[in-house]
Amino acid sequence: MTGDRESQVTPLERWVGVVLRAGVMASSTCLAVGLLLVLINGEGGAAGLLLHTGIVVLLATPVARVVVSTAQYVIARDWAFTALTMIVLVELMASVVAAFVLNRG
Amino acid sequence: MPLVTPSLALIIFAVGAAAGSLGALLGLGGGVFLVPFLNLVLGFPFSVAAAISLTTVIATSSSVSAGRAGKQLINMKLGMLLEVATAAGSLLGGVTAQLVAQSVLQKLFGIVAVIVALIMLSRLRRRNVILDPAADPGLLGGRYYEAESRGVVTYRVKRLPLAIAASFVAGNVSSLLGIGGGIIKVPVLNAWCGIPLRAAAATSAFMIGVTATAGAIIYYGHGQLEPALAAAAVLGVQLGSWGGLRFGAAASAKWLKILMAALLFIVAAMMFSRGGR
Repeated sequence: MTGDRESQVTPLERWVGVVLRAGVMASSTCLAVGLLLVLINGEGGAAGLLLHTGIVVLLATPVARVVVSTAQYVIARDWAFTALTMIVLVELMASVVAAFVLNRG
Repeated sequence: MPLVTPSLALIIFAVGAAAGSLGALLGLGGGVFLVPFLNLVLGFPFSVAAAISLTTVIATSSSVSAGRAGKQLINMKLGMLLEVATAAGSLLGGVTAQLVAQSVLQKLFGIVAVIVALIMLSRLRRRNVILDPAADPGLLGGRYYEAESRGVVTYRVKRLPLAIAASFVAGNVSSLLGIGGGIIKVPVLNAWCGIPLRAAAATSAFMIGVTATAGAIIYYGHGQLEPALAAAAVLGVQLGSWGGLRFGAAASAKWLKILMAALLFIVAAMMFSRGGR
């Protein structure tokens, strides 16, 4: 890892950038259109669907970023970081489980 | 759950824009300003305010880090290692937030606001200790090009257990209170772990998306996230932080930090008086 690093972008960094940019654009678009529809027509129908889609995409973006990171660490055969990113994924899944459990209570 | 009206959405959009631009200027997320406004001024339940704020934290993290990925300022290895701790803290905080009373959360927010204000005041002038550019950054260290000094900055990570502990606390506070938590880990990473301020801030901003998501999922699943109001806040904060970043290096504006510290002391006092009832 010696030498000139500022000119080279690793596949990991490229994929992380692509996932984050796509997630932000998709969720912001859904949220903006959904919000406009709510303000014009009120909640429900397409507006509610767009808003919830926007929120789910927003929440899924960091998760997807971790998934592509895990994939890149597997490709690079970096098992320590494969394991660490998989622990983060397990923690995120645990929060989905916690959301359902608390919702029952 | 608050009723969504055009005027309420517009107010939240405007407050989000103000919080986002202040956050960008000060190098904070906007959550520390957004949560008290939603809770104290608009009267939303604390959990509803925290849930909306967490969505803005995620959006800011994703959009800021998308632009920075590949510029070496973000230390991805360190970030992904510390995320194990922030996500665990956040998961615990999200569960805890469902079990404790609003008054407890308000008092905790008051304490954190005082700490944030003190950190801001104590860091009015801050310098980095940087290694020789040719030094070996080690497994977790980093190297990036700094335009101002026209040189390569190289650093090693020291006291990793402390960084992990601070990340856990930051994650916990993040989902309990609806803030990013960068204000807790960035000073620790910078002052004690050898990480230059800009790299610490960029790495923290990268991590808080995952951190806030672990908490936000719980609020969303529990029906405490109003999507239309979250949309207004997210779009406002996005616009505000974009505008704030355009003003550039105003983070050195000393008077702005003093003003914001004063504002945070007022927020803390209000949180204590509400939480005490």
